[in-house]
Amino acid sequence: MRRAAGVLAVILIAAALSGCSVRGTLAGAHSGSSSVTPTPTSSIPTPRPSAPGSIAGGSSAADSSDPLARISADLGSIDGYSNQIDKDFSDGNAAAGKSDNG
Amino acid sequence: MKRTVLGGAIAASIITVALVFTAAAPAMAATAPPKTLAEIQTAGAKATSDRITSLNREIPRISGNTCITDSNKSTILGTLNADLTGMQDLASAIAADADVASAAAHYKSIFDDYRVYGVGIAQAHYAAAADCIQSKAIPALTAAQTKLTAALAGKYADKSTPEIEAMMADLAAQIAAATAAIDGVAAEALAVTPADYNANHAVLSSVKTSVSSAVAAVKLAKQDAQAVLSALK
Repeated sequence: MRRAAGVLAVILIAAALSGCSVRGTLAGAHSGSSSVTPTPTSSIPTPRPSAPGSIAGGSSAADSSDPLARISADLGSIDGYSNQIDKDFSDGNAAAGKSDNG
Repeated sequence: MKRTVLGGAIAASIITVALVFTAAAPAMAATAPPKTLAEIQTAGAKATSDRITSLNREIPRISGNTCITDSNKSTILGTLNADLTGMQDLASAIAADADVASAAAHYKSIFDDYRVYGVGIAQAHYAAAADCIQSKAIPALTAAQTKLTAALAGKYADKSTPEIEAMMADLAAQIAAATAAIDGVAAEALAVTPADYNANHAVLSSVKTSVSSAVAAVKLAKQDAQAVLSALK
Protein backbone atom coordinates (compact mmCIF):
# COMPACT_ATOMS: atom_id res chain seq x y z
CA MET A 1 0.00 0.00 0.00
CA ARG A 2 2.78 2.41 0.89
CA ARG A 3 4.59 1.38 -2.24
CA ALA A 4 1.53 2.09 -4.38
CA ALA A 5 1.21 5.53 -2.81
CA GLY A 6 4.86 6.21 -3.54
CA VAL A 7 4.41 5.21 -7.21
CA LEU A 8 1.40 7.50 -7.49
CA ALA A 9 3.36 10.38 -6.00
CA VAL A 10 6.16 9.85 -8.54
CA ILE A 11 3.62 9.82 -11.38
CA LEU A 12 2.06 13.05 -10.11
CA ILE A 13 5.40 14.81 -9.82
CA ALA A 14 6.47 13.62 -13.27
CA ALA A 15 3.18 14.76 -14.81
CA ALA A 16 3.39 18.17 -13.14
CA LEU A 17 6.98 18.67 -14.35
CA SER A 18 6.14 17.64 -17.91
CA GLY A 19 3.07 19.91 -18.04
CA CYS A 20 0.68 17.06 -18.83
CA SER A 21 -2.95 17.05 -17.76
CA VAL A 22 -3.09 15.66 -14.24
CA ARG A 23 -6.87 15.76 -14.46
CA GLY A 24 -6.85 13.23 -17.28
CA THR A 25 -4.36 10.97 -15.54
CA LEU A 26 -6.40 10.80 -12.39
CA ALA A 27 -9.85 10.70 -13.87
CA GLY A 28 -10.30 6.94 -13.59
CA ALA A 29 -8.30 6.29 -10.46
CA HIS A 30 -9.52 9.08 -8.24
CA SER A 31 -12.68 10.62 -9.53
CA GLY A 32 -13.99 13.65 -7.69
CA SER A 33 -10.59 14.69 -6.34
CA SER A 34 -10.67 18.26 -5.12
CA SER A 35 -6.90 18.54 -4.99
CA VAL A 36 -6.58 18.90 -8.78
CA THR A 37 -6.94 22.50 -9.89
CA PRO A 38 -8.13 23.03 -13.47
CA THR A 39 -6.33 25.53 -15.65
CA PRO A 40 -7.73 29.00 -14.97
CA THR A 41 -9.94 30.06 -17.87
CA SER A 42 -8.61 33.61 -17.70
CA SER A 43 -5.28 32.37 -19.03
CA ILE A 44 -6.92 31.20 -22.25
CA PRO A 45 -6.55 33.83 -24.97
CA THR A 46 -9.92 35.29 -25.91
CA PRO A 47 -10.65 35.00 -29.63
CA ARG A 48 -10.99 38.30 -31.41
CA PRO A 49 -14.61 39.13 -32.10
CA SER A 50 -15.47 38.71 -35.73
CA ALA A 51 -18.00 40.46 -37.89
CA PRO A 52 -21.17 38.58 -38.82
CA GLY A 53 -20.37 36.54 -41.88
CA SER A 54 -16.75 37.60 -41.75
CA ILE A 55 -14.44 35.95 -44.17
CA ALA A 56 -12.22 33.20 -42.81
CA GLY A 57 -8.62 34.28 -42.70
CA GLY A 58 -9.50 37.94 -42.50
CA SER A 59 -7.67 38.52 -39.25
CA SER A 60 -4.47 36.90 -40.43
CA ALA A 61 -4.67 39.06 -43.53
CA ALA A 62 -5.23 42.08 -41.30
CA ASP A 63 -2.12 41.21 -39.31
CA SER A 64 -0.03 41.13 -42.44
CA SER A 65 2.44 43.91 -43.07
CA ASP A 66 1.06 44.31 -46.59
CA PRO A 67 -1.17 47.41 -46.51
CA LEU A 68 -3.28 46.11 -49.38
CA ALA A 69 -3.99 42.90 -47.45
CA ARG A 70 -5.13 44.98 -44.47
CA ILE A 71 -7.42 47.04 -46.71
CA SER A 72 -8.77 43.83 -48.24
CA ALA A 73 -9.56 42.58 -44.72
CA ASP A 74 -11.44 45.81 -43.94
CA LEU A 75 -13.51 45.44 -47.08
CA GLY A 76 -14.13 41.77 -46.33
CA SER A 77 -15.58 42.70 -42.95
CA ILE A 78 -17.91 45.17 -44.69
CA ASP A 79 -19.33 42.30 -46.74
CA GLY A 80 -20.34 40.57 -43.52
CA TYR A 81 -21.95 43.71 -42.16
CA SER A 82 -23.70 44.40 -45.46
CA ASN A 83 -25.34 40.98 -45.37
CA GLN A 84 -26.62 41.64 -41.85
CA ILE A 85 -27.80 45.14 -42.80
CA ASP A 86 -29.62 43.88 -45.89
CA LYS A 87 -31.32 41.16 -43.86
CA ASP A 88 -32.43 43.55 -41.12
CA PHE A 89 -33.68 46.10 -43.65
CA SER A 90 -35.60 43.40 -45.51
CA ASP A 91 -37.09 42.00 -42.27
CA GLY A 92 -38.10 45.52 -41.20
CA ASN A 93 -39.82 46.13 -44.52
CA ALA A 94 -41.57 42.77 -44.38
CA ALA A 95 -42.95 43.48 -40.90
CA ALA A 96 -43.95 47.06 -41.77
CA GLY A 97 -45.62 45.86 -44.96
CA LYS A 98 -47.82 43.18 -43.41
CA SER A 99 -51.38 43.65 -44.60
CA ASP A 100 -53.19 42.51 -41.47
CA ASN A 101 -53.05 45.89 -39.80
CA GLY A 102 -50.06 45.54 -37.55
CA MET B 1 -62.94 61.01 -81.43
CA LYS B 2 -63.79 63.14 -78.43
CA ARG B 3 -66.38 60.57 -77.40
CA THR B 4 -63.77 57.83 -77.62
CA VAL B 5 -61.36 59.78 -75.47
CA LEU B 6 -64.08 60.52 -72.93
CA GLY B 7 -65.13 56.87 -72.90
CA GLY B 8 -61.55 55.83 -72.37
CA ALA B 9 -61.17 58.27 -69.50
CA ILE B 10 -64.33 56.93 -67.83
CA ALA B 11 -63.15 53.36 -68.27
CA ALA B 12 -59.77 54.26 -66.84
CA SER B 13 -61.44 55.91 -63.86
CA ILE B 14 -63.57 52.83 -63.21
CA ILE B 15 -60.51 50.61 -63.41
CA THR B 16 -58.58 52.94 -61.08
CA VAL B 17 -61.39 52.96 -58.51
CA ALA B 18 -61.66 49.18 -58.75
CA LEU B 19 -57.93 48.79 -58.27
CA VAL B 20 -57.96 51.11 -55.25
CA PHE B 21 -60.75 49.12 -53.63
CA THR B 22 -59.11 45.81 -54.48
CA ALA B 23 -55.79 46.94 -52.99
CA ALA B 24 -57.48 48.26 -49.86
CA ALA B 25 -59.64 45.20 -49.34
CA PRO B 26 -57.23 43.05 -47.27
CA ALA B 27 -56.48 45.86 -44.82
CA MET B 28 -60.16 46.76 -44.49
CA ALA B 29 -61.13 43.16 -43.97
CA ALA B 30 -58.46 42.78 -41.30
CA THR B 31 -59.53 45.99 -39.57
CA ALA B 32 -63.20 45.05 -39.37
CA PRO B 33 -63.61 42.82 -36.32
CA PRO B 34 -65.54 39.58 -36.59
CA LYS B 35 -69.16 39.74 -35.32
CA THR B 36 -70.03 36.75 -33.19
CA LEU B 37 -68.24 35.71 -30.02
CA ALA B 38 -67.04 32.50 -31.64
CA GLU B 39 -65.75 34.38 -34.67
CA ILE B 40 -63.92 36.90 -32.49
CA GLN B 41 -62.38 34.11 -30.45
CA THR B 42 -61.23 32.25 -33.56
CA ALA B 43 -59.77 35.39 -35.14
CA GLY B 44 -58.22 36.46 -31.84
CA ALA B 45 -56.58 33.08 -31.34
CA LYS B 46 -55.06 33.23 -34.82
CA ALA B 47 -53.91 36.86 -34.55
CA THR B 48 -52.24 36.33 -31.18
CA SER B 49 -50.75 32.98 -32.21
CA ASP B 50 -49.24 34.48 -35.37
CA ARG B 51 -47.66 37.29 -33.38
CA ILE B 52 -46.38 34.99 -30.65
CA THR B 53 -44.74 32.82 -33.31
CA SER B 54 -43.13 35.86 -34.94
CA LEU B 55 -41.92 37.27 -31.61
CA ASN B 56 -40.46 33.92 -30.57
CA ARG B 57 -38.54 33.91 -33.84
CA GLU B 58 -37.38 37.54 -33.65
CA ILE B 59 -36.28 37.71 -30.01
CA PRO B 60 -33.39 35.23 -30.44
CA ARG B 61 -32.40 36.91 -33.71
CA ILE B 62 -32.12 40.28 -32.05
CA SER B 63 -30.34 38.76 -29.04
CA GLY B 64 -27.73 37.20 -31.32
CA ASN B 65 -27.27 40.26 -33.54
CA THR B 66 -23.77 41.57 -32.86
CA CYS B 67 -24.35 44.83 -34.74
CA ILE B 68 -26.85 46.37 -32.33
CA THR B 69 -25.53 48.56 -29.53
CA ASP B 70 -26.12 47.15 -26.03
CA SER B 71 -28.41 50.01 -25.14
CA ASN B 72 -30.60 49.64 -28.22
CA LYS B 73 -30.65 45.87 -27.90
CA SER B 74 -31.93 46.25 -24.35
CA THR B 75 -34.67 48.62 -25.53
CA ILE B 76 -35.69 46.36 -28.40
CA LEU B 77 -35.78 43.20 -26.31
CA GLY B 78 -37.79 45.04 -23.65
CA THR B 79 -40.40 45.96 -26.26
CA LEU B 80 -40.52 42.55 -27.92
CA ASN B 81 -40.75 40.67 -24.63
CA ALA B 82 -43.50 43.00 -23.43
CA ASP B 83 -45.34 42.39 -26.71
CA LEU B 84 -44.94 38.65 -26.23
CA THR B 85 -46.41 38.79 -22.73
CA GLY B 86 -49.18 41.05 -24.00
CA MET B 87 -50.11 38.65 -26.80
CA GLN B 88 -50.12 35.69 -24.42
CA ASP B 89 -52.35 37.55 -21.97
CA LEU B 90 -54.73 38.65 -24.72
CA ALA B 91 -54.94 35.13 -26.13
CA SER B 92 -56.05 33.88 -22.71
CA ALA B 93 -58.42 36.79 -22.17
CA ILE B 94 -60.13 36.40 -25.54
CA ALA B 95 -60.54 32.66 -25.05
CA ALA B 96 -62.14 33.30 -21.65
CA ASP B 97 -64.42 36.15 -22.77
CA ALA B 98 -68.11 35.38 -22.37
CA ASP B 99 -69.59 38.26 -24.33
CA VAL B 100 -69.05 39.98 -27.65
CA ALA B 101 -68.22 43.40 -26.18
CA SER B 102 -65.31 42.27 -24.03
CA ALA B 103 -64.00 39.92 -26.71
CA ALA B 104 -64.16 42.70 -29.31
CA ALA B 105 -62.31 45.06 -26.98
CA HIS B 106 -59.58 42.50 -26.38
CA TYR B 107 -59.39 41.74 -30.09
CA LYS B 108 -58.99 45.43 -30.91
CA SER B 109 -56.24 45.68 -28.31
CA ILE B 110 -54.11 43.19 -30.28
CA PHE B 111 -53.70 45.85 -32.94
CA ASP B 112 -54.20 49.24 -31.31
CA ASP B 113 -52.12 48.64 -28.17
CA TYR B 114 -49.25 46.59 -29.57
CA ARG B 115 -48.71 46.84 -33.35
CA VAL B 116 -46.35 43.91 -33.13
CA TYR B 117 -45.59 43.93 -36.85
CA GLY B 118 -46.12 47.58 -37.78
CA VAL B 119 -44.06 48.91 -34.87
CA GLY B 120 -42.33 46.34 -32.64
CA ILE B 121 -40.65 44.07 -35.17
CA ALA B 122 -40.28 46.71 -37.88
CA GLN B 123 -38.59 49.24 -35.61
CA ALA B 124 -36.34 46.52 -34.16
CA HIS B 125 -34.92 45.62 -37.55
CA TYR B 126 -34.65 49.18 -38.81
CA ALA B 127 -32.76 50.13 -35.64
CA ALA B 128 -30.54 47.07 -36.00
CA ALA B 129 -29.71 47.99 -39.60
CA ALA B 130 -29.02 51.59 -38.58
CA ASP B 131 -26.75 50.50 -35.73
CA CYS B 132 -24.86 48.13 -38.02
CA ILE B 133 -24.29 50.87 -40.58
CA GLN B 134 -23.26 53.43 -37.98
CA SER B 135 -21.15 51.36 -35.62
CA LYS B 136 -19.68 48.74 -37.95
CA ALA B 137 -19.90 49.41 -41.68
CA ILE B 138 -18.95 53.09 -41.66
CA PRO B 139 -15.96 52.61 -39.30
CA ALA B 140 -14.74 49.73 -41.50
CA LEU B 141 -15.10 51.89 -44.61
CA THR B 142 -13.31 54.76 -42.89
CA ALA B 143 -10.49 52.42 -41.89
CA ALA B 144 -10.15 51.24 -45.48
CA GLN B 145 -10.24 54.84 -46.70
CA THR B 146 -7.47 55.86 -44.28
CA LYS B 147 -5.28 52.97 -45.35
CA LEU B 148 -5.89 53.61 -49.04
CA THR B 149 -5.02 57.28 -48.56
CA ALA B 150 -1.79 56.29 -46.81
CA ALA B 151 -0.95 53.75 -49.49
CA LEU B 152 -1.52 56.32 -52.26
CA ALA B 153 0.63 58.85 -50.43
CA GLY B 154 3.42 56.35 -49.82
CA LYS B 155 4.31 52.97 -51.23
CA TYR B 156 1.79 53.14 -54.09
CA ALA B 157 2.13 56.84 -54.98
CA ASP B 158 3.32 56.00 -58.47
CA LYS B 159 0.05 54.17 -59.16
CA SER B 160 -2.16 57.16 -58.46
CA THR B 161 -4.20 58.32 -61.45
CA PRO B 162 -6.98 60.88 -61.95
CA GLU B 163 -9.46 57.99 -62.02
CA ILE B 164 -8.20 56.69 -58.69
CA GLU B 165 -8.32 60.18 -57.21
CA ALA B 166 -11.92 60.51 -58.43
CA MET B 167 -12.84 57.20 -56.82
CA MET B 168 -11.19 58.29 -53.58
CA ALA B 169 -13.19 61.53 -53.67
CA ASP B 170 -16.40 59.59 -54.24
CA LEU B 171 -15.47 57.17 -51.44
CA ALA B 172 -15.22 60.15 -49.06
CA ALA B 173 -18.50 61.56 -50.36
CA GLN B 174 -20.35 58.25 -49.93
CA ILE B 175 -19.02 57.75 -46.40
CA ALA B 176 -20.19 61.28 -45.57
CA ALA B 177 -23.58 60.60 -47.17
CA ALA B 178 -24.04 57.35 -45.24
CA THR B 179 -22.99 59.05 -42.01
CA ALA B 180 -25.43 61.91 -42.52
CA ALA B 181 -28.30 59.65 -43.60
CA ILE B 182 -28.04 57.30 -40.63
CA ASP B 183 -27.39 59.83 -37.87
CA GLY B 184 -30.08 59.48 -35.19
CA VAL B 185 -32.10 56.95 -37.18
CA ALA B 186 -31.92 54.09 -34.67
CA ALA B 187 -33.20 56.38 -31.91
CA GLU B 188 -35.92 57.72 -34.22
CA ALA B 189 -37.05 54.18 -35.05
CA LEU B 190 -37.12 53.09 -31.42
CA ALA B 191 -39.07 56.17 -30.34
CA VAL B 192 -42.11 55.16 -32.40
CA THR B 193 -45.02 53.84 -30.33
CA PRO B 194 -48.21 52.00 -31.25
CA ALA B 195 -50.08 55.26 -30.59
CA ASP B 196 -47.86 57.02 -33.14
CA TYR B 197 -48.65 54.27 -35.64
CA ASN B 198 -52.38 54.54 -34.91
CA ALA B 199 -52.22 58.23 -35.76
CA ASN B 200 -50.06 57.71 -38.84
CA HIS B 201 -49.51 54.30 -40.39
CA ALA B 202 -46.54 55.70 -42.35
CA VAL B 203 -44.75 56.84 -39.20
CA LEU B 204 -41.72 54.64 -39.92
CA SER B 205 -41.43 55.63 -43.57
CA SER B 206 -38.78 58.32 -42.97
CA VAL B 207 -36.73 55.78 -41.04
CA LYS B 208 -37.04 53.36 -43.92
CA THR B 209 -35.96 56.03 -46.40
CA SER B 210 -32.94 56.99 -44.29
CA VAL B 211 -31.78 53.39 -43.88
CA SER B 212 -32.26 52.80 -47.60
CA SER B 213 -30.16 55.88 -48.46
CA ALA B 214 -27.41 54.87 -46.04
CA VAL B 215 -27.35 51.30 -47.37
CA ALA B 216 -26.97 52.59 -50.93
CA ALA B 217 -24.14 54.94 -49.89
CA VAL B 218 -22.33 52.15 -48.01
CA LYS B 219 -22.50 49.92 -51.09
CA LEU B 220 -21.20 52.66 -53.38
CA ALA B 221 -18.39 53.44 -50.94
CA LYS B 222 -17.47 49.77 -50.79
CA GLN B 223 -17.38 49.63 -54.60
CA ASP B 224 -15.11 52.68 -54.72
CA ALA B 225 -12.72 51.24 -52.14
CA GLN B 226 -12.69 47.87 -53.88
CA ALA B 227 -11.98 49.49 -57.25
CA VAL B 228 -9.08 51.52 -55.84
CA LEU B 229 -7.70 48.44 -54.13
CA SER B 230 -7.88 46.47 -57.38
CA ALA B 231 -6.10 49.27 -59.22
CA LEU B 232 -3.25 49.22 -56.71
CA LYS B 233 -2.71 45.47 -56.91
